[in-house]
Amino acid sequence: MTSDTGLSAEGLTLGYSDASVIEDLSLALPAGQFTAILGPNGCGKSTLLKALARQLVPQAGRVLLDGKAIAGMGAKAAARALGLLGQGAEPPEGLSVEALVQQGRYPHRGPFSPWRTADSAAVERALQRTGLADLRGRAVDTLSGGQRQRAWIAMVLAQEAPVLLLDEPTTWLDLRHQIEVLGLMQRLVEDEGLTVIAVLHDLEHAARHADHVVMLKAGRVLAQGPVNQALRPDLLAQVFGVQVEVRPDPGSGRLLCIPRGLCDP
Amino acid sequence: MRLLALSLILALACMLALGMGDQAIPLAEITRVLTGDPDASPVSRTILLTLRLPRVALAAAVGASLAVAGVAAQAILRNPLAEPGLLGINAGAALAAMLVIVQVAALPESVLPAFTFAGALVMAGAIQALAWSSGTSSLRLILVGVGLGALAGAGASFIATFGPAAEVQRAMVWGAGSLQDARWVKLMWIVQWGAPGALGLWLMARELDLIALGDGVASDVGQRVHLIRGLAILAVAMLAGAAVAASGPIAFVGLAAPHIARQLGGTAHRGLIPMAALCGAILLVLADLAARRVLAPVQVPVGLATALLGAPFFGYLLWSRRNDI
Repeated sequence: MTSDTGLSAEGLTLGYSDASVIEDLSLALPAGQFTAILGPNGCGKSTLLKALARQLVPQAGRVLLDGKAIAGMGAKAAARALGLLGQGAEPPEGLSVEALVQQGRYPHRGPFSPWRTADSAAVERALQRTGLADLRGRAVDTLSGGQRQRAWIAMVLAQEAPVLLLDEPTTWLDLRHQIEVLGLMQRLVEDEGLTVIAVLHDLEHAARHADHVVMLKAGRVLAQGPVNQALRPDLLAQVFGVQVEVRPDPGSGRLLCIPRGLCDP
Repeated sequence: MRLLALSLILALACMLALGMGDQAIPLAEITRVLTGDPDASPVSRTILLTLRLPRVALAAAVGASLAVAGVAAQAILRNPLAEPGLLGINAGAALAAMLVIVQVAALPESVLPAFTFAGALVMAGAIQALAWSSGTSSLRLILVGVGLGALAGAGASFIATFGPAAEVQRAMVWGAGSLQDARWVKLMWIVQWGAPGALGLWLMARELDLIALGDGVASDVGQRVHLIRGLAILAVAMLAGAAVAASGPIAFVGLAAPHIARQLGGTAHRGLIPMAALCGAILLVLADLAARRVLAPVQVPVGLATALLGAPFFGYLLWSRRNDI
């Protein structure tokens, strides 16, 4: 299941110490698309995302980026190619938004190389895109949950990696900022050809913004494919144990997912 | 600008410390001695050049070393209450000193620093090795550090219990931290061992900025977190080991100086490290002056003075963070 472009996994077994969370998983994530990873709590979504970003060494199998194994890449080279936004990091007290976003330039800099105009430009762009330009001087620990989350997103954007991996990027955000962040991801994919892979909790977000969907349950891929084909009531029932009505949204040409009730156990 | 202001304060503190004592020396006389003016009185010259100057210089150097080590320890342990002692450095050095002073009385005193320094390095290495489980984490380092520190403390007490009283007494004095026996050779230890450690940490300033965000984030953007932490611990052990060898363990400076510097100069380590070094130097020069003068002619060990100041400061830190912890 390899493809020449994009991120793919071959026979991936992942876990922590003895217990494995994911066994023998193979997956192809199309380049230049917005992929949503869906699944119930504890199904291994975050674990998979870490392995795809080279932050977790697989117990077996490998991850390929454009046909090359990422295990063989250096740490900085991998960070230039793959930007990961994890969950729930806490910045040190008093650190300004701008100083945090500047840390995203780490993989582009040698140990003693000076700060370049390209670095400033990337930080500036990331601040603008996340609407944080006016808050750049504020300490991150004094921001609201939503602003803080956007600061972390800005840091990953400043990394300028062609592939972005995001673990629940809309957590902590209010409705408006949820739509802003997902819309931003969509624009990065459509206008700049980036690949975005996001673990999402909300079916509605996936249906509205993603191009491609991967559904996991208990460490296995139950379905993957274009969003309009993979979001099927029978598959959603299997994955989440919820009856979901799926119908076309005449306004957007996309799907609407409406939970109707729990499946019988 | 702030660095300049701090340097001036340090210079003032040093002048004060040089001038004050059982025999007060006026500023003009100090200037004459320091500039090698032949009009300076021989008494002042002797007091300044053989007693006070080495002592003040050593206080400044030890204070700066402890402060820089503290900055780095707080960054790599991601804990604002961390200080080099948490990495087992004081306990290792104290145990080595106790062993040398009590058990091997035949050895000349000049080997003491080598042993305490080795004790500090061995302890830092052991803590790192025991905390290793496919990498180190700050929590495991702190837990193992506290455990091994207690063990080393118990070892030192064991030796003290059964050792000859006179030697134990000497070891206890050393263990309280004192600058009374300041000599130029001790300053050389800090230059040889501490300065490279401080320079290494300053060159790693950007890495420290990043690792302070947490292992996960640092590793996500491509930092080799365990390598950086290992190097930083080595540098901290060099700095604190040299300081402990020169003056015995001195509490509080490694904790307080980084906090004061952060209030003054923000979070970026490139500026924070020199700022903390100056703060540490000022603190220890003043603390040693107080230790010399408050109960004069009795000299209180400076480690005792800083500990007395440090306990309320620690309480203040806890109180100011009572909502976070």
